[in-house]
Amino acid sequence: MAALALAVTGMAALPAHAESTITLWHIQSTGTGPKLIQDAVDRFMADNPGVKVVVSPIANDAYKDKIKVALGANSAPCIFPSWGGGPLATYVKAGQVIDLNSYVAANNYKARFLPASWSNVTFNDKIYGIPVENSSVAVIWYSKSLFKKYNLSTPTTWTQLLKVVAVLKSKGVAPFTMGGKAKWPEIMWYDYLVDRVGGSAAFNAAALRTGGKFTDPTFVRAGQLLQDLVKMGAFINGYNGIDYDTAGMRAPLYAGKAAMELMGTWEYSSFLSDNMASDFGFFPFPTVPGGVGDPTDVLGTVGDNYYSISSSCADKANAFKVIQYLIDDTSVKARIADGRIPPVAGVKLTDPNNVNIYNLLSKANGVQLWWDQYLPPDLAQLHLDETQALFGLSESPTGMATKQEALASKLLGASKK
Amino acid sequence: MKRKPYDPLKPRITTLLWMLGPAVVMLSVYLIWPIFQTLKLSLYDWNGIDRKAKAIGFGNWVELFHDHIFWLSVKNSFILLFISALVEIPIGLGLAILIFRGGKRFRIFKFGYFFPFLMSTVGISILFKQIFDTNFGLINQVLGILHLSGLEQDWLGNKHLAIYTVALLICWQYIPFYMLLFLAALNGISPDIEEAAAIDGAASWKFTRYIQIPLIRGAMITALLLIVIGSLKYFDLIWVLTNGGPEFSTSVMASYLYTLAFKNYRVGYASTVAGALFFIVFITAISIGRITKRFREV
Repeated sequence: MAALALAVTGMAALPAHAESTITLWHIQSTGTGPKLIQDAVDRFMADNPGVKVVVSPIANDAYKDKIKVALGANSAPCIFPSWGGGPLATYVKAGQVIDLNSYVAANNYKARFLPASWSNVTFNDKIYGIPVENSSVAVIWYSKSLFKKYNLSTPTTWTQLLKVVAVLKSKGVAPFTMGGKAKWPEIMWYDYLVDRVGGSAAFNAAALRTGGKFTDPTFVRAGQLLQDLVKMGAFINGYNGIDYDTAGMRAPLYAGKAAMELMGTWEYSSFLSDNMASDFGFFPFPTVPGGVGDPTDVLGTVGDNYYSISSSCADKANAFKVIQYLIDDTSVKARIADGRIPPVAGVKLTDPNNVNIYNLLSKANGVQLWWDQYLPPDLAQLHLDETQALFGLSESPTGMATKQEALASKLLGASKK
Repeated sequence: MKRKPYDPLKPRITTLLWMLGPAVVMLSVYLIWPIFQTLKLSLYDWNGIDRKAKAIGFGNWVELFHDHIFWLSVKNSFILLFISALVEIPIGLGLAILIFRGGKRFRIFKFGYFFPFLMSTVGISILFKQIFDTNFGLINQVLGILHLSGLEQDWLGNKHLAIYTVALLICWQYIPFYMLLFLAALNGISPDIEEAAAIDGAASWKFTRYIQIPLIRGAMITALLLIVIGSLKYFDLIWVLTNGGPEFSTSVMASYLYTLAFKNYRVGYASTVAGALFFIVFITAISIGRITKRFREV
């Protein structure tokens, strides 16, 4: 009894230790991802004793569900990533994330990043997320050995692409591999074609309901071109069921059964860890005959994972500091070494492939975020389903256009000039 | 008033409350209450994130009635049900009889055949995703080697075939469970009956067909009921193998409601599907119970 009293008074005599705990969720759960984040967090904790950061790496698709449940139950982590666009807008509307304008204005932090990287996280002139991970855009990766073997040069127009497709088919090689199970690899085709046919103005007018409709000729033509490509047999057998997540989409490329894929630039990290990087190069998505789209436009994101701070976070100031460590100079160097392209202005890249990607990004006049991240979730889901049906030849381009416009009207209102 | 002497056939109320109480409380909180919450949520339009949900009366139920993807999911759930019942019960029974008759030396088969049931569903899905792969999968490769390339299929990507591929894989996983169920039932038949039948000169296959099988009727009806309920609400393998695709061809009620809640951000509507699932399973199970009632009387 006396010993207990002594212990209690002894503890009371110790200096007060201000401890705050910050929770961080991230989806860099594979390869070097976890280490990149943990190293930055460890450096923060070393510089800030008294603040503890609890890190949880979560797999991509599992995260998408988990964060929704956490937000809905008001137990979101302090710091969590999103891809900006529609879903982030939903969180903003529900008051779940704080606006970071004051934080990024301090010390001109905002100027550290590429200008294009803020577009996906800015709503009503307020910034709600910090760009941290890769800059990722969709390009057409191709097998250098197969192209050399069949004397093919990289196409810049749709007509040239169709010729390449025809040659590959005649040699028994699938021109394109595809991972249709998750559907998002398929929408890259449709989204790019809409941009090439009608320019970014066409999509913006429809998505923002400023006078355009998803039934406009641009969308129907894009669907037509895509479905014609599918009917030509340009995609590998089983394209609508192959699983990207279990490497089912890359496997045919490595085995020489397919020659190309339209995929994000993050694929390069996978090529590197699979030791196949030396065989692959990329070319930008081709132009389309009669299309008015800017040929330098890219589909993707400058900033990939954007970290937001939840409004229920107890220590927002320190949470912002943690985020800053995630993309400080040491982190930037580590990411470049890992084959990534941080969305930071003036980076020096060493890998020639990444230098090419960075050039592509800096030349791009427009960056269109993937539609399934940009559109409101219900419409995004319809777009995914309809594209899969288009690939499966059970939906026509006009049918797809009509259904998308109908739901867009219902969710976002009629389109008015 | 003198307390009645203890009668084991009529326990006291307080004893009942103490024994059943905790279980009833747990069930109520984690099972009964969520069911009512789900039904209540079905009357709202909620995206799962907003702090307020919008009450819309029976709007969701009206939409459900016209939702062709929902009815496709119901159809797929019943396809799964019929295939499961027609495959799992006969094969499970056949295996059980074989092992029962084989005696001690067949015990290794009992453990071997039980293996699929012990594997994690996710493990099975990943394994069979590779086996069913259109370009590199084991099945198509073997068909090619046997010069049967014409039979090669897009097992999981062909929208007309996928549901059957998945259904048969689900059967593969659950057959061992029913094998064990029937084996236990067979072991429950008194050996006196077998001796009596032998004395009367019944050939062994006649014994199986006319005596053993009728005597395990109870187990067969239990199996049928388990299959009905399990198939209608099944989720696991469907989700990991195909996500309900391609083009909703393998979509079942459970995978559809999951997609609605977590991909479409429509928790209210997903609750409606969940409620409909509950009613469909309830009605089907009761009907099966009624229909098989006369078979249960020995």
